[in-house]
Amino acid sequence: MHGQKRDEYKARLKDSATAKKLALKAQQWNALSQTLLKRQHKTQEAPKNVQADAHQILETLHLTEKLLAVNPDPVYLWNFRRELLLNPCLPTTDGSFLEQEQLLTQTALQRNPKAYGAWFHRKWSIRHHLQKSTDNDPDSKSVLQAELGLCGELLMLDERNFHCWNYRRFIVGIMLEKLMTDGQSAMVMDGEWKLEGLLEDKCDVIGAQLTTKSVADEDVALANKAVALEVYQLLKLEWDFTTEKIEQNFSNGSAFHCRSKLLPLLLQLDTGSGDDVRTEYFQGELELIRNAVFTEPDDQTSWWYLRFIISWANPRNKDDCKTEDMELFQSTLYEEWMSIHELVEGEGGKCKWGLLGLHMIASEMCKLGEKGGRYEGENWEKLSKSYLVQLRDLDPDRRSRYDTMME
Amino acid sequence: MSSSKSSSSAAAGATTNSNAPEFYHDLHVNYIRTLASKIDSKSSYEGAVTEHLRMSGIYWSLTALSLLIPPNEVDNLMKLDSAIVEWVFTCYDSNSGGFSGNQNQDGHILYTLSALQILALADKLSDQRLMDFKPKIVKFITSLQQPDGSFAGDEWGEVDTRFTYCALSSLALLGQLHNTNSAANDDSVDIDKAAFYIASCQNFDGGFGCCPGAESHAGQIFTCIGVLSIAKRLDLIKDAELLSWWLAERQCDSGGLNGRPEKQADVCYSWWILSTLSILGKVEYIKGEKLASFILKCQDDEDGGIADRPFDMVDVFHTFFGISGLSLLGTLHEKEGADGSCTGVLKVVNYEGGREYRMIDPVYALPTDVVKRLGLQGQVMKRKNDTKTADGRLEHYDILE
Repeated sequence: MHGQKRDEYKARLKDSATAKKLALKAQQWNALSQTLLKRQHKTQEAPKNVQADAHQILETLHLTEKLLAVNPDPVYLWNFRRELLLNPCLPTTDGSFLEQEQLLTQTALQRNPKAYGAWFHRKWSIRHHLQKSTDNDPDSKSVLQAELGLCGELLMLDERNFHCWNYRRFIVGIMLEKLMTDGQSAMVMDGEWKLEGLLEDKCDVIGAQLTTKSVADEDVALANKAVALEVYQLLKLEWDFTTEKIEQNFSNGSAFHCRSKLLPLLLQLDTGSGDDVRTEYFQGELELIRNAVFTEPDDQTSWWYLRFIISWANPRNKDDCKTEDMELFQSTLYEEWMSIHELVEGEGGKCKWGLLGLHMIASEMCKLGEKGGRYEGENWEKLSKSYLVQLRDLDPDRRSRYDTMME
Repeated sequence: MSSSKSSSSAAAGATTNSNAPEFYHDLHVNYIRTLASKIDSKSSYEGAVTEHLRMSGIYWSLTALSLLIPPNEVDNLMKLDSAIVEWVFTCYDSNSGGFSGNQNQDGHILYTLSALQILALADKLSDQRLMDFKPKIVKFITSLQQPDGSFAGDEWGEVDTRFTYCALSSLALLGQLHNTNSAANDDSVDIDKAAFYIASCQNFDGGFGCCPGAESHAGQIFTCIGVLSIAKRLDLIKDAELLSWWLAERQCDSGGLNGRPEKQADVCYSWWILSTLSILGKVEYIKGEKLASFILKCQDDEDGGIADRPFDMVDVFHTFFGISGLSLLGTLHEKEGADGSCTGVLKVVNYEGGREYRMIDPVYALPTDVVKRLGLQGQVMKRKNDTKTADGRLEHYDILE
């Protein structure tokens, strides 16, 4: 009974009125399930070329709706519903059932925002609808925009709901696919961000969230540099969305995660190409992190992102690493070190994550420096060790790790 | 929210914090024993809304119980060999070829694994019925693998790294994991491709999500590392040290573990994170005593069972993961003192190897003796010799050099 207080829960169960109510609910559920089961057997027994009773289909659909609105977790119920929706005898006005499925999944998600089955069904419904509509259908654009809007709303209720973040990436994946293929080929719409042909360097991209039984035409040429700007603009909107989320709450690890995926993509798509753009992003991210850590020094969220950003920005990871790049990187690191040093001092030395940040930079300086690393006159190796000593005292639970690091 | 104050650590040498309760062994046995009749009652609302995952519920109950009492007692209490095994086979869905969560429902990879795990516990993997169904079960599983190496949960196509774990673990239990040709076909899966797909789910913090691009989450990390262990491709982890560190930082001041930064501690992560750290050889990165105390504080001292956090209502899911966590920590296996006093909890019959009680295996989430009996394979990373996990639990696995 995830997250329910024991005393309250037991008291409720003991209360005869509540117990009766729950027993009644159970009986209702069981009765509906049994009815559905009989319908399912009938459907399976009937050969496929026999005209199914359209009325029956609608009734059975309604049954599944009643069950799923109460409990959206059982996958088999969603499966049955999908079978019914795909039944050729299903009476619909325009062949679309999107709206009703959006309504049902929304009801379900309001009840349980983390129900895997409801999220998947929504993805399936959207895809089914879009695969049937024409390429330039303005309806598609508004449908997708509305889905992004829904994500925005749900993330206001729970900004860490990873189902919702995944769904957002799914919708963006479809939008990207539309841009990239220019509607020329049958779209797969599995949520994958297919950006081959646009990116020079391989990046981590977003993966498929649902499969298609039919094999997509993999040889369709996706390379279309003319749409690079549109792709950039779409991803920039997502980037801005993560900025908004982080500014609302620095503790939003989900937003930082999303940002970590977008950053390498934006760098390649940003029309201001070359080193300036990379430096701009580096500085921009450092500033964002600085705001976060100075506001909440003990919140680990942005410190993980700092580690990533420093690793990402390291010119050694580039093919054409120049001396000026290394110098700039090192001086930026030094500035960052001074900033965090100030923070830790401000906390009287009792800032675990600040110390971890200092240690990370000190270690990096050791790797960058020549002859024992004495950049700006500091002994980075000595500093690195001293941070570990302080961390051992400040964070005794993780002493074992610090000891390992000191070896 | 984590706070900067460092709490006093447990006294050196003490097993748990002095204010942690004891382990209510008998209460938990009773909780599990009486669960079925409560859940299966027609008036049980909880039973009704969880009936679709009953197969997994039974796996959690049986495995938890198996860590507390010897196999023959488990069978006596739960009628494992008879009633439960019979019931498992009634949940076989010949349409899909997989097992379903309950009778007359659709086969799914999640419940296929749970079913096979129950049969493994009951030592019924050579049951004739399973032999008869085996080709179709294997076909069901292999048909779920996608061109990119991922696995769907069923024919409807939801993709999630959990399903990869369930698929590989199921095939291992069926003895079909290494009956592979180089290319995936109806009788085999492409293990390397499955591993590469998992590797593509790695994130900026060293963790793994449910699909490429998804946020790191301790539960998904377990399934991903589990896959890489079964596939013997731990070499695909980009930064095992970073991942181990990230997992270590899931430990909150309360001693409990959370699943992601700035989330609440929850007992179930005791399993998912400890098992992963066991595979990575870094269990000592977590303060074991504090975690044990946290788990013990999540017990119901009246009716037994363990909850997600202290004073919450218990359920069998958290009971299983809490007990498994204590097992992985070694807390359940302290020896009897010279004066006959027992600092631990279990004084159970002898098993092979001189161990006094069953341990849980971090890769397959079954008792270690079951894993060894079946000859299940896997891979782990090197670990420091002086840790508690040097208890033979992982001795049958390959070590990544």
